Amino acid sequence: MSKTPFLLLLTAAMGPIGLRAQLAPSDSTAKTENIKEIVVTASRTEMDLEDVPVPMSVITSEEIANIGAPRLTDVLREQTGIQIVSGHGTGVQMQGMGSDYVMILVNGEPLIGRTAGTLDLDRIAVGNIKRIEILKGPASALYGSEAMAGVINIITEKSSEGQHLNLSANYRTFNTSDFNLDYGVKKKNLNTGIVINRFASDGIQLEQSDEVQISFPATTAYTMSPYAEWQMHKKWKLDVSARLYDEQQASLFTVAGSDDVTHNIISSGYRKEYTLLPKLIFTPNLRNKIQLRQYATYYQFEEEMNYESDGALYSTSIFTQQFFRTELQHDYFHNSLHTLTSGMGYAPELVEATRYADEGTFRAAYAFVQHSWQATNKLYFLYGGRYDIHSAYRNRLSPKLAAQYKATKKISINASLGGGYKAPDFRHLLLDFTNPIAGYSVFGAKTANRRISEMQEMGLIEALYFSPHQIQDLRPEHSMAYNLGWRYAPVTSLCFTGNFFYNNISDLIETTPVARNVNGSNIFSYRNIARVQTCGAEFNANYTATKNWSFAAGYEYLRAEDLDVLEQIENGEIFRRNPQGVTERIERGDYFGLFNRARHSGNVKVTYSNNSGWNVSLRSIYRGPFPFGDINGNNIADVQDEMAPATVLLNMRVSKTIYKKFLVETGVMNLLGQVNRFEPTVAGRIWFAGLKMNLNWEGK
Amino acid sequence: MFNLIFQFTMKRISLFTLLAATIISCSSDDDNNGGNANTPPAKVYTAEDISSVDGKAYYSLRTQSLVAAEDSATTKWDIAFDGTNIYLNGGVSGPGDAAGQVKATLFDEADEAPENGYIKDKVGLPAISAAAGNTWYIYNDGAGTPPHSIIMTPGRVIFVKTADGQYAKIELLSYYKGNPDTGTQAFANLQTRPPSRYHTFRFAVAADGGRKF
Repeated sequence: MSKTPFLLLLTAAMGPIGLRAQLAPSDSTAKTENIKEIVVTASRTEMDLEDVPVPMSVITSEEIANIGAPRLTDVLREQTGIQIVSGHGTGVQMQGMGSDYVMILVNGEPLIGRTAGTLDLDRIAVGNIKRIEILKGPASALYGSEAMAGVINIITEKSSEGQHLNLSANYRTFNTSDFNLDYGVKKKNLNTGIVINRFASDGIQLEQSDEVQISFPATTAYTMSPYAEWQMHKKWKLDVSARLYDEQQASLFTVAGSDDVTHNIISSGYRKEYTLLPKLIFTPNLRNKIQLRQYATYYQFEEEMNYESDGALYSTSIFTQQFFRTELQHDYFHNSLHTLTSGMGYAPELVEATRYADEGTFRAAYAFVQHSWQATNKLYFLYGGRYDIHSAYRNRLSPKLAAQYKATKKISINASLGGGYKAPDFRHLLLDFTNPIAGYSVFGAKTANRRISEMQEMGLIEALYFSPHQIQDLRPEHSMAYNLGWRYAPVTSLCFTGNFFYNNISDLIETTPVARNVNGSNIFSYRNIARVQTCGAEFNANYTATKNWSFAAGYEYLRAEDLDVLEQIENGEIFRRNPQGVTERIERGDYFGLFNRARHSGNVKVTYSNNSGWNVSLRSIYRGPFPFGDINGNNIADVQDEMAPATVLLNMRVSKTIYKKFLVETGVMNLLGQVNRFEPTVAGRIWFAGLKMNLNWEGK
Repeated sequence: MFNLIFQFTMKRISLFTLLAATIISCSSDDDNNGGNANTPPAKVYTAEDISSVDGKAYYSLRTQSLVAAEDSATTKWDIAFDGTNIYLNGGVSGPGDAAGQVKATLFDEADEAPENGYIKDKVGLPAISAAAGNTWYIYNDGAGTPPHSIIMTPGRVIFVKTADGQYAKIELLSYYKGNPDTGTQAFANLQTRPPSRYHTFRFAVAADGGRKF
């Protein structure tokens, strides 16, 4: 393949991109082929989505607009292979792994500030998102700890030539409002802009029998994201972006006291998150690209809880986290067949919290290397690894090997294997928390021995479930994963993709009761005890029927099981008492798997749009029954009473463009009004209406 | 691959064993009791609502009756209950020879007491306790289902040597008065839940000092 002047021009314009993107024969007759979907998450360099050899999908800004929701939760909920779960905020679950194992990036840098492992998706406004790249399967070989289930990378929109001002207002049920302002100007070498978002909601409180069930708290949140890109010189570019987030929350919940009485508690929270990312990009020639990134982020969450009855203080806590990262990345484009990406970084992290016994600091350093290799016209390899050095935990090597075989123009097959890992976080080590009403305690692994022996001396321990030396130092959790996928596009308007996955996770850290205090409440700590496997398959079909109509459907089959439980079942060591009071052995088929994982989930989407500016989008999202917990004493889900019912959401949006610059929209989320107490992130029926204005003018 | 074959073989073996066991148990009860063809299978008793509300409850598996607290320093009792603490008449808990262990099996299938593995109560470490590795219940705290409840782990058989060295097996059934169904709304509601610290269990003592039940 020869470098045509056109190609050179293109490369110069876009910065050096993987030349592999041009390898695919261009089919100029096909309409969709012209619009290449360029993604960056899979390899840390730009790549055509179709060429990515690992499971990956993209949510476009059109798709986000069609959903019409202001927060990331509702956008991710509609994606195949993603389940939205609740617990200390709204979290994401991928390939059967929870929020702790999914890294969420904004423009390639991780968001911090997790509560008990959950990064609350409701913190993220979707107003100026260009696209969301979702990478499934472990990506620790590029991203290190946390990226065990995958990576969600949110790419924000930057200005195009001239000036633009986009305003939008959206009003929804539960007195929810969302305002978004997006202004940008691009002149010559300078591209600057700012996005300001205000989100407010009265919150949703569902009364279910006699228990108060909160879906989400009353919230007022401001997000401000300024950015500037400055092409200082032909070879030098400076890119600075920031994110400022400020949120106030109030909610009501009940706690059952050890005195058998339930209390209503009002919680008010105040959350701040500031990030700053300067990035210096040096492109000495077409073959080299060097990036220096200096990421700094600060997160703080303050919470005060008071009794509703008399306003007395129930609990107060402050959590602050600081994370810094200096990273140098070098991409070397040897020729159209080889690209070598390497990098190294240093990341100190500091945490201070009322609920932690001590201030915590981590220092981590890492280096990674990756080779992108077009071996033949049909066969492509992407492989590499990352070595992480951590101040508190064992060092870790995470490998990755992925291959793509383009059998024909229509069929390609992807196979990959990779190692994932997750270092225990500060809470696993340092937590020192006792619930003032319910009375239970959770101690981190470093805190537990000391606190339990203190309590023992004071005569506060009634029973020890483990001898103290069994609560040992924690090791990082780690996994091996295999993915086998395919893409089949018989005609350009029709595309089928699929992927089989298998993850084997060891040394999983679990909260385990380690003792009981004299009040009859458990004392928990963390231990590397579990081994888990998750496996399944994901299928997607996209069909652009006509200029006006398009259809999409997706389905995921998921099995997530505890390997020790499987072994015990095999050995006939797990039992239950049946309704007749007779104890019986559990069979393999009785075991529903890990809690909170639905075996079946999927979606069907229909979109209609026409030349006169009408756009209609109708989606149905299904999450099948899932086990929510154990009630019959054997610690596993094995009877129907332990299953939560399925949820079917029907979401709809209609919009109309007026005078090209204006758009009105209206719609409904959860038209069927499906609500159950096991899905606290699904509110009742939500109606919404909104107005958008997009102004563009050439700034000459 | 070898592993697979091995697993398959094991499955076949266990299937045959099961089949053989069924034939044997169907054919005659005599084989169950060793050489002594005339010994009937050990009788299974159920002790209902053994209360430790007012303090430790001492119980004799041999006479199937409660033993007065005054006799706690004798070998009249075998097992004592005090809430979720279980004590055996041996070691630091009493003058007898009692010792015990917990196995994951079915009470009805446990036709022979293990020969070894019995431990005695130690200071702060009773034999039948989670700390000693002998778990027999789970505790659901305020956030659990049902909240604040002690649920017997199903399929746990406590094998004990009685104070005078006979072998016995015990299946704990309930921690609440009247052995209620713990899956009901009435049980989940703390206002209507029956009182705790009432142990119901079934047990059998092997005859003639043997280990077969």
